[in-house]
Amino acid sequence: MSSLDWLVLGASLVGIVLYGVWKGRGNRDLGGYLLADRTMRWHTITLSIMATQASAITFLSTPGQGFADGMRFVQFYFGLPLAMIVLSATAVPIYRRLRVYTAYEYLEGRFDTKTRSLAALLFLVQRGLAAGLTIYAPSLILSVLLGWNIHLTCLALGAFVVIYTASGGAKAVNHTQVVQMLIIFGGIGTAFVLILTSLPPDVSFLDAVRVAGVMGRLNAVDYSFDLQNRYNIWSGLIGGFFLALSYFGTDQSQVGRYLTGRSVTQSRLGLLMNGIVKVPMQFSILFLGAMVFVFYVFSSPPVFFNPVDVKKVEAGAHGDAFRAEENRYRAATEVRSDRARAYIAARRTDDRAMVAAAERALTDAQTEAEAIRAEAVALIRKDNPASQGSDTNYVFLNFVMHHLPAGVIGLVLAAIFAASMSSTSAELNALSSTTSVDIYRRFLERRGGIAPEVVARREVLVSKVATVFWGAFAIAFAEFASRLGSLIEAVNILGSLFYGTILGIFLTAFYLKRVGGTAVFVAALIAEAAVVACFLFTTISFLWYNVVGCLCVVAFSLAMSVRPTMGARPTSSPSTP
Amino acid sequence: MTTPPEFEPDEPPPILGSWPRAYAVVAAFLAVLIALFTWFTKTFE
Repeated sequence: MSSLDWLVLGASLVGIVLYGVWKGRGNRDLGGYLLADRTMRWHTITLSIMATQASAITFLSTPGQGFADGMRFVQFYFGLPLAMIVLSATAVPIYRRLRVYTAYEYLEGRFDTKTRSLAALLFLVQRGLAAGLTIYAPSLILSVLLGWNIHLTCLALGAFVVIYTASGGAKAVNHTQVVQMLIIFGGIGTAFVLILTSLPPDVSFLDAVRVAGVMGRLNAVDYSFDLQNRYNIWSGLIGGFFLALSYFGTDQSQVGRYLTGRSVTQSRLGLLMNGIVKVPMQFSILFLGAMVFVFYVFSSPPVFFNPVDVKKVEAGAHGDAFRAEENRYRAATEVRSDRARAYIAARRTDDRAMVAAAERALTDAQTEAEAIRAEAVALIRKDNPASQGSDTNYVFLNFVMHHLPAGVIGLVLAAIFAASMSSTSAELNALSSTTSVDIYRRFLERRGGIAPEVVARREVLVSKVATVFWGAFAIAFAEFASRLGSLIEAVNILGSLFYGTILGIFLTAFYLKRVGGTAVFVAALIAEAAVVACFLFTTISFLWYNVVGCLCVVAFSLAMSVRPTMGARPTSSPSTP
Repeated sequence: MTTPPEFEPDEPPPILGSWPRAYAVVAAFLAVLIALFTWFTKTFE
């Protein structure tokens, strides 16, 4: 990295921390600290929601997925806009009317304390672990590229976020997220333009798209119905809908964002705008990965993009064999490059037979290159069984470091860091909210004989301490994240283990008025066991876990409510819609 | 007497006149996107 890159990156990080501390000053009570005094407008809410969801993993893993697997991952987001509609119509007015700090508060009014506590606990476990992954991802960048100690890197990044999140709460989180999203959009846009300008002069944009298409990288929609197929339109629309409904409707890191809105209208608009922008944004990032793939079709790519694994195998017992595979791969990719040019030339003629022949030759060359790469990866795993044999997370970064100019590298890295900080800060703020409101305030707080302003100050202090605690927890978990394969999938799989059950609890609360607390509590335990069983003993794609968990809660709680002994208390609670 | 905060008026969106219309626009936008992506896949794959 050049001095200019360091300057851009350092200025961005320090600027974000200082801006967050400055914007978050003056919190006197929990309303200010956790909900920014409910003063945010819809555009801030939209950017805040997007920044919370778009972690650094989005920039590390998603282009890599586009590179390795094509565009089909975009289908994962198809259910999101529909979930935004449902939440705008139902959850937003309910949460706003009840003036809750957390989504889980609502469950006590509707059911009972144990159900609220169960949902809060599931959230704390899941989100606490996910926050660790969010910190780990950019730390991985520095450790691999600059040789820094990953443990210290996780600690430093986590500390940056904790400083302004603990200091300023939701105000700091929301305001810094706006700046962070601007940096992110700037980084993506610049990288995209530079990738296109990095293609050979004789390869136009349309040529690049055609090459990506024929090599299976533009498979955006798949209509086949297959429960084992991780990404198709059905898993995206149905499983993705349930996942988004749960994530945005019951995960405090998102609920906390739109609860800061100054009115129901502002909160709704913030969610709906997210529903409009999110899918095109993910499409663009995947397309970026597909274009990186095309770039490497015309320039010799490394056989494996993780330089640490490559160095290890080269220095080990299989070093000679690996170097031989590297040479074979280089020759195969040169053949692929020539055939890609031949395919482009054929497309410029009207000769269909010639196009078909060139297409076959190109795909054969790709198959050959992939076979050699698989042999090289096998050597890496043979040499180091701990290696995952996956370099998806390194593809985009490798491209950035080796092919983008000075200054832009710093900007892209700043975007990756901004993304990590934005989602981590929202997660820590949410974990703090749940800890202070659903645990401390509900079970531990003593208010007798203490002045209200003292109570308020103490609650803010507890929230700040909780933020620091969860920051430390996330950093500790980050140490284990390197064993989880593709990071973005790891986060989504982890979320899917819990989201379905939590969503089932909330849907039952919203719509099944005859179901009571005990029934839904027992049903939630059964549902969670069913989801874990699916994870351990079946090959069902993880998106379906959300459906399984949710339906189990609804079905079992309904079944138990039929029996008089488990029957519901009639709910005339004001918290029901 | 001020309106209690828990009874916020349900205002219409700033454009389109009603929330159901706003929801319909978001759903229609998704349908258009899926149609475009399908065309994109069929054309270039």
